[in-house]
Amino acid sequence: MLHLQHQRTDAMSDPLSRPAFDTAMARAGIVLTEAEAEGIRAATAHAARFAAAVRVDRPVAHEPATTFAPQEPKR
Amino acid sequence: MTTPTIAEAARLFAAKTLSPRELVRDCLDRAERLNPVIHAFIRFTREAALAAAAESETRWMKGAQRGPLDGIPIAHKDIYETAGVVTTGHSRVLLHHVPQEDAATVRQWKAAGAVSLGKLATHEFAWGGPSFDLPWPPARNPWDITRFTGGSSSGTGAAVAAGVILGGTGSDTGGSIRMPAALCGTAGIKPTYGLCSRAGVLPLAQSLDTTGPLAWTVEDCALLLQAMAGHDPADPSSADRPAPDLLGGLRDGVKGLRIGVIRHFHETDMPVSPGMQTAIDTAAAALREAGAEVGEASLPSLQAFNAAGWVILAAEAYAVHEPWLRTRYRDYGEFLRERLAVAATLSAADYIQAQRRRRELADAVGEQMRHFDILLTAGSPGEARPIEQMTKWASFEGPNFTIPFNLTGQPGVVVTAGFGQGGLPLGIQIIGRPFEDAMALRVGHALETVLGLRGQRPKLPA
Repeated sequence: MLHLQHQRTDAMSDPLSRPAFDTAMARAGIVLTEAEAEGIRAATAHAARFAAAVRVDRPVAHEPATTFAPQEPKR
Repeated sequence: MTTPTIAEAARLFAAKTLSPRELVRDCLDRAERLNPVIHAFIRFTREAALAAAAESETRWMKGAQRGPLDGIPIAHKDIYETAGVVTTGHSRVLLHHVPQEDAATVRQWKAAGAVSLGKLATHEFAWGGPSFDLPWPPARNPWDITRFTGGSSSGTGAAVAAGVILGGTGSDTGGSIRMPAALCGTAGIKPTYGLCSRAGVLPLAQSLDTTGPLAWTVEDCALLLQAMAGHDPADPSSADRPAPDLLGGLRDGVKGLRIGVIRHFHETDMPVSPGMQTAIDTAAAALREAGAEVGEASLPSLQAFNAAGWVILAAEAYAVHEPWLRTRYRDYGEFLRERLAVAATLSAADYIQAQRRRRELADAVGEQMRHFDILLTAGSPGEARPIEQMTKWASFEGPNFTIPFNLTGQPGVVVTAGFGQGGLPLGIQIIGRPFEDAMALRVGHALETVLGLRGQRPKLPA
């Protein structure tokens, strides 16, 4: 069975780069001062650490969570 | 007046040695007098409370009371919608929000005769606190008002500990019932996900959110939970199954039950204070003495649970608040808006990976629950910390002991199992299997009884 391995780098617990952070804020419609942006960007290191930690190797077709079961309409 | 428990008050009402009007008025007077110190309430509903107490008294006098909650002073966390009464989420964003209908639990407790004294402080929308830039200050811990209450059901923990209400509503997405219960020295239960309706409760993260009560004793939590448990078609997460009997077996003891202490959580993954270690050891020894078989459970690391829990909570919270963040960013307090801004940087893949991890972690816990009826661990790392140490990113920095069981959906009861060097309470968690809330309450009640700590209340002005 095919496995996909997550490549782990130090960057996975670094803050987002400034361009990536600015893109995320623009997409969210959040307008920040320069000082706010730098403070929040530094805290994205926590998010990166958590996001790295949830990536574990498993078979590529193994889906333990996000399946969908259609329901028959109620009659 | 010494604040009775709910069970005691019901007995006194039945014996006609205490009246609902007397109790409600006394609680209201003390709550209003203490509020400038503990900030547990953000709104009182005095006239409605006194009217409801008078109606309750009439029912008790006629022998037509609705049950043990009739005439009991309670209050609701301000994320529970209350018809005709402003419900803000402790936020400027909803400063003038007057719901048309009661939340399901508000309706259920009202139908059981409970008397609401008002609305209780919370961390902003149950995630942003303790904050000092909101329309109301954060609640303070009645054991020491320089200390944190725990959150987010901060006002409920403070008001129950201060004895100005006999019980109240909380919500728990990552520990928001259990942490204030642990730090304020009350009892509390995060019920099984799906046991209680969340209809009419402002959401934080809908695959984790649960509603539940805090009260002074486990028995009182069982009485309150009994009145709010059961299927509600208005809440898509509500389990379509009959409400369990949470009271019938409460005094059955722990003889023969298998209890697993998750030692690596509090000894290796997140070492706790010496006081908390002693509290856990004392509780385990007391349960063994009472006839339980006590062993050691082994789960994935606390950090693994925390990572999945944080990503899911943050991503879902951002999805809830996304429209308001675009248009009303500056109406939020700094803590919540900046936490939500961090959440906005998560990707869809992050969220899906976290949900996959959640399922694997829940399966690992489920495997351990084949060997144990109950798991035991800390409710917090130690005593409540000074409130000013609870900085904007503090909750991001270390794991907590509660979020694993939001991920797994299991019920968790908090019981005070000791006091630390500073004289503040130390709460531990008793975790049951999904939909075995009655067993978790039973163990909690047994432990509370043998430990005999419920006679100690915080010292507050009369």
